[in-house]
Order: sequence, then C-alpha cells, then structure tokens
Amino acid sequence: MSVGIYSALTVASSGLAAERTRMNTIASNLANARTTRGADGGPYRRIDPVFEAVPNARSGALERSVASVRVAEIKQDTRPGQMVYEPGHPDANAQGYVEYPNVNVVEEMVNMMSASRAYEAGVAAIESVKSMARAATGIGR
Amino acid sequence: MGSVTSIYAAISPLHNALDFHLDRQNLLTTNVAHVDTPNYVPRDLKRPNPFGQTLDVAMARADERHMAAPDTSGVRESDIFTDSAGGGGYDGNFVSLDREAAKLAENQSRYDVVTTAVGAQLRLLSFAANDGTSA
Repeated sequence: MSVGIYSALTVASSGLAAERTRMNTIASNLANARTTRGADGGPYRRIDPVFEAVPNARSGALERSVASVRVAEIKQDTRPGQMVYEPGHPDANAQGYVEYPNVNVVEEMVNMMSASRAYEAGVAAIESVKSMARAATGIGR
Repeated sequence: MGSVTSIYAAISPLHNALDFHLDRQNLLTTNVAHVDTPNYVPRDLKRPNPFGQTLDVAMARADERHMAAPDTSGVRESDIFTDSAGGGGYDGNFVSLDREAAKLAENQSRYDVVTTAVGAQLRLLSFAANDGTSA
C-alpha cells in the first residue's frame, strides 16, 4: 500500500509550522537584542527551537520513515552576554559594566534567511505534491 | 490475451509505477520538512527491480488450508536507504535542500509521465470500445 498524498501534505505542513516557530524565536531574539531585564531577572538570553522527527505510524517500513517535524523544546542559549562599560545604566554592576543579551544580530539574520528558505522549500514540496494529485485526477480525461 | 481481465494488463504495471513515485515523493517531502532537524539523514526509495520481482513470485495456494505467502506488495525496509551524499553539518543533519529539490522535481515529472501513459492506455481502450471511432 502507498502512504498516499495526504501524509506528504501533513509532513510538509509540520515542517512549515516548525520553521514558523523558528521565525518566532528569531523575531524574539532580535526584538530583545538590548533587553537587560529578562524573565529570570538577568539580561534576555537568546532562544533556539530544537526539532525532532516523529514517525506517522509505528508499523510499515515506509510509514515509519515518513515522519512529521515537532518542536521538541525551546532551548536557551547559555553563552555569556556582552559586557559593556556604562556606569550610568541602572542595571550596571559594581564595576560599572552592563551585561547585554547574548544576541548577535548578524547570526540572527543568517538564521532568519535559512528559516525563510526552508519554509519556501516546504511550500515548493507542497506545490509538487499538489500537482501530482492534479495529474492523477486528470487521468482518463 | 483474449480474456476480459487482460484488457487492463497494460495499466497494472503503470499503477505500480504511480504508487512507487507517490511513496518516493512522501519520503522526499519528509526530507525537505526535516531540513533543520538535528541528526536527520535524508531517506530515499530504491527503484523496484522488475527482474527480481519476477523471480520473487509466490506459489499459488492449492488449498485454502495451506499457509499463505508473505505479502510483498508494500514497501520493504530494504527498499528505503539513507542518502548522506549531500554532506552533513555540525548538527548531524545531512539534508541538502538543492539535492532534495532536484529529486522532488525529477520524481514529479516521472509521475506526470506515467499519468500521461495511463491516460493514453485508457484512450486506447476507449477507442476499441467505440468500434474504432474516437469518442
């Protein structure tokens, strides 16, 4: 048996949703690039989604290989932030240094481009499956 | 030839080809979806070997109480192989978008060719059924 058109669409759309999650984390990182008061009191820490493959079924060789994407966790980057000497800043430490978030704007932009391209590739895959379905329904016409 | 069932004999292998390309499309779409999944290695489907399949026929059951041959119609584990030729990144992901896009396009166009062939076969049958006048 074939796994059908719809599992391809399900998998592709799970990939799109995952890339959208990635886009959201990148937007959050960029927006908070200078936020010195995060949720845990310290500066904002950049976040990254971790994806994992979830098979659509337990049995069948093909069914186990056709796996959806799931966001396993949103991981906080533990790298230290940038220390900037700003004695007048309310969040400066005793030595006059302010710890800014560990967000690197260039890195985020590169990640954003890669997420956007991956999203486009997923859309192209969906278009391809759709055109196959169209060809199949056109048989005999 | 001569029996009614053999009318569709030419379409049946084409049907298998459609199934194969749809299954392969599913695998390739999965690869594209997992372009950012750590430790994911893209998978691909082996083209079925017609000669091997011809040798792989099961004997017909002479009696209902005999054991049935295992069903070999589905995709077997050995037909799926991992394709790491695209090169891996630091996260252990081996998906190469351009490679997968090329495979997707190729597979889709093969599928389209087969649907055209099925349509042509059906038109032949319809031609015969209408006494040689194209309906």
